[in-house]
Amino acid sequence: MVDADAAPVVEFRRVSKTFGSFRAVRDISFEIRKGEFFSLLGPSGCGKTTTLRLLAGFESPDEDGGEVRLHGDVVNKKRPYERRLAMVFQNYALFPHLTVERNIAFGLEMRGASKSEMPDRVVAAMSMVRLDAKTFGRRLPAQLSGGQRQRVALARALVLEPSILLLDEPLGAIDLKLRKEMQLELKQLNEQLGTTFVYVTHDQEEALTMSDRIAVMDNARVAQLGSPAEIYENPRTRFVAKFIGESNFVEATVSDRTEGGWRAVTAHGEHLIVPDHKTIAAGRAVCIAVRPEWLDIVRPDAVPAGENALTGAVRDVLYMGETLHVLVALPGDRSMTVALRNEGQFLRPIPWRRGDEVAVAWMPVDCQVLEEE
Amino acid sequence: MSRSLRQRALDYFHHNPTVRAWSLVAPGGLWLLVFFLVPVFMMFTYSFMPRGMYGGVESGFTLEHYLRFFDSLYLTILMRTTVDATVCTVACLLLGYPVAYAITRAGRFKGLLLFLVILPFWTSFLVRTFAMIFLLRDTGLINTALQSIGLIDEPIVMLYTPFAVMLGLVYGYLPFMILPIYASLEKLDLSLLEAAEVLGARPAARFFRVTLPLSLPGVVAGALLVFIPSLGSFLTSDLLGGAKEILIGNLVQNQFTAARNWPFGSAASFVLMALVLVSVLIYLRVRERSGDAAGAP
Amino acid sequence: MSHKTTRDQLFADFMSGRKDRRSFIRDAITLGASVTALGAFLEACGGGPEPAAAPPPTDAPPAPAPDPDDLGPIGTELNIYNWSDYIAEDTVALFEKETGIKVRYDTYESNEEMMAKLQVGAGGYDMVVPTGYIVTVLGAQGLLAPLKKKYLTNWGNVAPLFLDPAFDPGNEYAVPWQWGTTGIAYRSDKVNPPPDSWGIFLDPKWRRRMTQMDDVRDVIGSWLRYRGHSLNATDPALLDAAKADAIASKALLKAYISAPVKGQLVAGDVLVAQLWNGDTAQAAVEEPSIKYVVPKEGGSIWTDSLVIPKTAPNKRAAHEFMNFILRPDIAAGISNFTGYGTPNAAAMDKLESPVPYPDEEERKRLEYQKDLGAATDAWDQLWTDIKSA
Repeated sequence: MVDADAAPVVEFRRVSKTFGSFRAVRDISFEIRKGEFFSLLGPSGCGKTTTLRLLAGFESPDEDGGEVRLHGDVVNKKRPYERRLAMVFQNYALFPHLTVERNIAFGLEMRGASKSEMPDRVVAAMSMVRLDAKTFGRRLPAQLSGGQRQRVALARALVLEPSILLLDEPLGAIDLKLRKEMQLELKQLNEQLGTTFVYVTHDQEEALTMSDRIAVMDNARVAQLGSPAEIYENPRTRFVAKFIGESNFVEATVSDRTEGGWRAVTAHGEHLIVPDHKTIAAGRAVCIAVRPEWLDIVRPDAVPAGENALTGAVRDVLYMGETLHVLVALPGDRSMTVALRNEGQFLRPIPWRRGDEVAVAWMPVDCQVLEEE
Repeated sequence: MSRSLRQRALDYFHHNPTVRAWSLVAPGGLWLLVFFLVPVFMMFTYSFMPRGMYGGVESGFTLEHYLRFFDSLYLTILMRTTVDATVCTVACLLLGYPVAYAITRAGRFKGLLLFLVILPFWTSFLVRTFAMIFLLRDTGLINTALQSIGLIDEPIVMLYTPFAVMLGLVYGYLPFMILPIYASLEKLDLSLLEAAEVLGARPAARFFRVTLPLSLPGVVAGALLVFIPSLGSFLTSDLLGGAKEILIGNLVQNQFTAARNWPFGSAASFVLMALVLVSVLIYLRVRERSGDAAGAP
Repeated sequence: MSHKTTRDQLFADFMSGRKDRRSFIRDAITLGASVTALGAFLEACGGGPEPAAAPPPTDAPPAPAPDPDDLGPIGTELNIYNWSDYIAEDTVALFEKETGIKVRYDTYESNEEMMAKLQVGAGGYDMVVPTGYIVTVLGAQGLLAPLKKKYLTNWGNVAPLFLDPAFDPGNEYAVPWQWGTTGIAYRSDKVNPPPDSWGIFLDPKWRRRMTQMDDVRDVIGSWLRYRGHSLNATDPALLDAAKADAIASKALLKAYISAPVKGQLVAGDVLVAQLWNGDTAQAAVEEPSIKYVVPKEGGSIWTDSLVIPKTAPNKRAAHEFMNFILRPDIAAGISNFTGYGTPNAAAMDKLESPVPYPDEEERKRLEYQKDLGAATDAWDQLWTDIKSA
């Protein structure tokens, strides 16, 4: 669906936003391509909402040369009603004094759509979000459930047939099961309509599930920009590795080159092989991250050749359903979490018990070398 | 009270929601009953009794006071009073709405501005009306100032004109318009305005399609709070209008004093009260209708 | 009484106007400038301390048992209900000091207010101060106790003019308190020639510089006299003519306003005003060019009197007070304060600026207002007509 060669529909070029002395967004740049499902992901206060508001036009960027462009035009000073975007708000922001129909028609009226086609477009938008126009059209927002309100908010945006749809944590207020359902529906709408979705969320799983690309934001900056797989499998910084999924961190000092990477040694004298990375040089400190599911547990005397291994004692085994998490205590108050696939604890129980001496082992290529933040 | 007795009383209270509810309502309800409903009922009774020669009433039943009221003389007064009250309400709305709106946007000055709005209540209405006389009269502050800077030669006649009466009414009742409108604007969810803006609404459309409809309860409350007392006002027209015109309030006051016709005064009050009640009921019905239309599938 | 209520009272007086006998402005100045005055005022309101040693009553009466005129012992309390600012600052304190009687002193703003209280039987007052024809009304309703003249040893001081008035034949109920007339106050420095007729209120030359009182009795009364009729007329034809004059005059009037007009006379906003003689005198203290005239067609004269309600608990003490104020020195003190005439002939030469009793010629032109009885409604409708015109 996404045409990688087409001109970007949204561009941020070195945009900053300062409120008084608080710098909400610092020097961020990214491009969003037509039809893309683009997520802004980060913890609260990271600047993702400000970024969306800069795009919507509620805020204008600092006047330091930064530019927000829509379809190639600089829109820094354009008011929201001049940008012809659509947006779904976190609390839905439905007009409480208007019926569902009138809520959905509001944008059409404001944009001067012809009166005769309005009813049809409203009904079409409602069916798009799977709301029965006959049942719900004349209700007031107060007479709807949370999920129904969510759909009305979506219909109110989609009825405008926008080329870009902004969504500000639209699924935050509905329950888990319905949320999963809506995630799928949103993704389908994105693909069917070819509309560019810009999606703000703090839920990493949601972002990974739905997005074509994710901008992970931290402390007013974009920490990493990439596809879900890139973000998950090659986190650039310790923050990203921690925020997206779970990770184990190991710190070491690089000594010298060897076949397939570099030799490194931890503060506790453990020897590791780490893969090549632009930041690595002899004598430098290095931090690596390893996902729990890429680790294995073996007896200390049975470490496969060529693998990295750290020796410790099993502290706990957590039953998670799909997986079992084995917490291993390492010397120096360190610990690692190993995720083992659950193949059925009655038929094929894992052999590790609390207190067992074990080695945590992984292949050097599975090390993610992190940049300093 | 011994602890166990106290405990038993609390338990009883706790397990009897009806008792609990009534005990909350009772003090205020009793107050209203004794000091509001009983006098109103007495007035109602008086309005059907023959007039006592020297005030008060005599026993008997008559409709003459109500019939007398439907003379064109009194209907004209009623009409003029209604027009005056309406003009005052509209003026208060036009002046008060922007003020209320500005206060909601005033940030840290909000408290100060609200304080200034209610400041006039610290002195009596009477005193403030007198202050107005000293402002408006021929040799008053405004005329003296205008003359001393040479803008006018002859004083502008302001006191004892319909303009002065309206000025006094609007000045007196403006806070009653500002406060409820402020309260409803303050509750307005700003994200609704942002939603409207993204949907393409320019500032005027945002105001008339979102802000105004959502502040309507405050506007209606303010309008009633201004309209009803200005219907019954009599001091302002006496003091600032030079008593040259008579409003329903003056008529009623006269009946209880110089004219010593209590039953006619009571009847006039009841006609006025009925008028207010009818307008409130019409408003409620209209609102109910529009609610129905919006609600049911 | 707190300072605040005193101030409110002052404004209330200013507002009610109708029968207000004192200059608002002067009071306001006194209140603002003089704490002593305030103290005296508070004392006059009954808040004063009881004298340390009460001297014996000046004329303790003999006590023959079966006399129906005998009211028993003098008692220790007296409850007075009077117009506000209608007594000298020290009158009550002097009375308390001389008699040892403790006085509770309340005030009202209009005859109607006082009547309403008496009619519903509230208050427990021993003495009220109605205007002439109100005495008739109260007497007719059986609300008054007849005077026991034997206690009024100073009765001889009352001027003959105030004996046996039409509103209280034989002085059955009323001891005269203060008197005055209603005429025209004008700025002699601006209005030339001086007015001598109610017709001035139809003269377009003084358009919007004239006022009449906000009282139907005074307004219609003036136009009835203008056409040569009694100001107590009830003949509809006469009333209609008076109404026509009043409506014609209303177009030229600045306002219907009573006592508060004094300030505007002084300031020069108003040049001609229907007003009482005493209030005019008060205004003239501040602006000497303000003069007073009773028009050639005549005006009204009124007397306010002390009467004792039938339900009064301390009738004997009330008589004591009446006799007290009939003393020349006390009567003169009161009129010096109120600015109104005293009905006490013996007090005349003790006054600072005595209001002379009307001579034979003037008396022909002065008429007492009488209660209109059943015609009250017709007059009120007249007033409504005029104001709606």
